[in-house]
Amino acid sequence: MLAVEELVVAYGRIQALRGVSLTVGRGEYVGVIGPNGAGKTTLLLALSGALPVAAGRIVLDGEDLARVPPHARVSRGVAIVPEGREVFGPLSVRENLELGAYHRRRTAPRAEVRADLEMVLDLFPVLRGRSRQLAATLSGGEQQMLAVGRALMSRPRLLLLDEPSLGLAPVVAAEILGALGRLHAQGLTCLLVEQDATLALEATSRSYVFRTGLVVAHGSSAELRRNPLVEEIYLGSAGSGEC
Amino acid sequence: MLSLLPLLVVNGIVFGAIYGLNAVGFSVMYNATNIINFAQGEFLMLGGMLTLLFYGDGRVPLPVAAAGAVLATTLIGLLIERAAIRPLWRRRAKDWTYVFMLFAVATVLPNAVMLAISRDAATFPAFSGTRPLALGGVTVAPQALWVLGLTAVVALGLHGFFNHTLTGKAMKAIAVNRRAAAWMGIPVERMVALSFALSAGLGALAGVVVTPLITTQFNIGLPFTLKGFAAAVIGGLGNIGGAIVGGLILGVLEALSSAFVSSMYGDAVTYGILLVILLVRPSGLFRPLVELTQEEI
Ligand SMILES: Nc1ncnc2c1ncn2[C@@H]1O[C@H](COP(=O)(O)OP(=O)(O)OP(=O)(O)O)[C@@H](O)[C@H]1O
Ligand SMILES: [Mg+2]
Repeated sequence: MLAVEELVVAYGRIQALRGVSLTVGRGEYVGVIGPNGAGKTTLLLALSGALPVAAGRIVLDGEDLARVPPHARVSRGVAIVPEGREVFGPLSVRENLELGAYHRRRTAPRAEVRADLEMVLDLFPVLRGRSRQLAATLSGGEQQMLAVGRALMSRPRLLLLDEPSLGLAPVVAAEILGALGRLHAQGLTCLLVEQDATLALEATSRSYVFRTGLVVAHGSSAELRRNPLVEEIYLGSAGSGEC
Repeated sequence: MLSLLPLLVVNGIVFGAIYGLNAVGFSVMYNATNIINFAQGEFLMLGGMLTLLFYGDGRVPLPVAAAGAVLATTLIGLLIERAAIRPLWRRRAKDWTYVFMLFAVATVLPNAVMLAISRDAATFPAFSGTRPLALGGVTVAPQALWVLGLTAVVALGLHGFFNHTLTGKAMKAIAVNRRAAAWMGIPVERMVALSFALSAGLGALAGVVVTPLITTQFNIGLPFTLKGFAAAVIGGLGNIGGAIVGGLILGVLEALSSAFVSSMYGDAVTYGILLVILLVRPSGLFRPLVELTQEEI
């Protein structure tokens, strides 16, 4: 469904992605792992249209997305749960979720949107009691759930997730990844970016390993778990100042 | 002097409503873009002056001339957005560049109006005559009731727009986080244009209803910009109800001070209040609709 071909993305003169190719098939759950600064976030920003592409192509269901502006990509079925959540803090939880369905305001009957809202609130029951609360007043875990819920409200065909477990207690991270696992089982295609390789390789069936803007390994997640290169990369990044 | 009190308060409320209407224009644009529109008062001026231009001396019925003026001002608002703001926006210019750009617009517009329409103060007839109405001891001009009525309708309408319509919520989302708003499928540039159209139209509407009360002239924009901005800040920038309340506070205090102290101090009172409120409550009396955290700025 998604094919990324020789993608180059640069911040000024610095190339954050230096020719990355990957594919995501319909119904797949694909992981992208790699140390800090590997270019994982850059990939998702380029896919969602937030960053321009310097070279290479992003093809979704046969359509080159180069000329599709960011706000039109969600109608093509691409939704993102961004790094740092980026929920609308001064708006209520409910408003955040309603805005998630913005692109369907003309096409979807109200009842359908309301049903989706119920689905999200069933998926993350803590949000139900807080639907009138401002998003900024939620805890980190709740905000992450809201970010996932908001993306789901667009009825995505391809969900991009940028480190949904970051900074969360293990139980909360597990709850969110569990919910994603259930959605995937129902047919949702996901591209999960994670720095926590163990977590990502367990959740996904196939993964790409990024380092300094390049794909350095890819294959089934089960195999990658035993790949010495993956271990080395992570020990390497742990040695270079991450604590 | 004290017997004049009710009359002064009523006058203050009427002027306060005008400030509030202007403040609401600030709030709309701020809610969508975080831009402080230093040309807001010019929209009010355009509303009055263009109505005069179209009305002539009764060649065209007043309601038609007024509707034409509101429409024309709305188009001018859209034009300003397209020609002066969007290029900056696309280049992710710093916030203060917008302020200067709009300040430039606020300088050019009155001059253009002076050259193209007239340099004299002028007015057109009140909507429902000028026979004062007695309301519980005070007499008010019928036009004042038009001002109050319009203010109420606009305030309620905008409150509903920002809190109960998806488009209104999308507008707030853009002010909070442009990028995330685009991810929702919100067409950011079209929304910004809409906010310009809306605040220009509202400004013009205010100009149309106040002109019979105060007369208008090419240079009345700036004072209204400053009063409207003060009212918006006092009420909590972006909060619609707050903008109206801020306007009313300003209007009443101004009326009282000019009667009991001296009319020379009107502006000093306005900015004195603003100073105190900013010192005590930097975000205004009411919670801004879109309260940005440090990080979001
Ligand atoms: N706005 C920016 N301006 C300049 N360089 C940037 C910018 N954002 C990212 N970079 C650089 O691009 C490279 C890739 O960054 P990216 O955020 O994609 O990494 P990442 O894999 O998501 O890392 P992390 O795991 O820490 O989130 C890094 O070297 C980073 O310094
Ligand atoms: Mg990242």
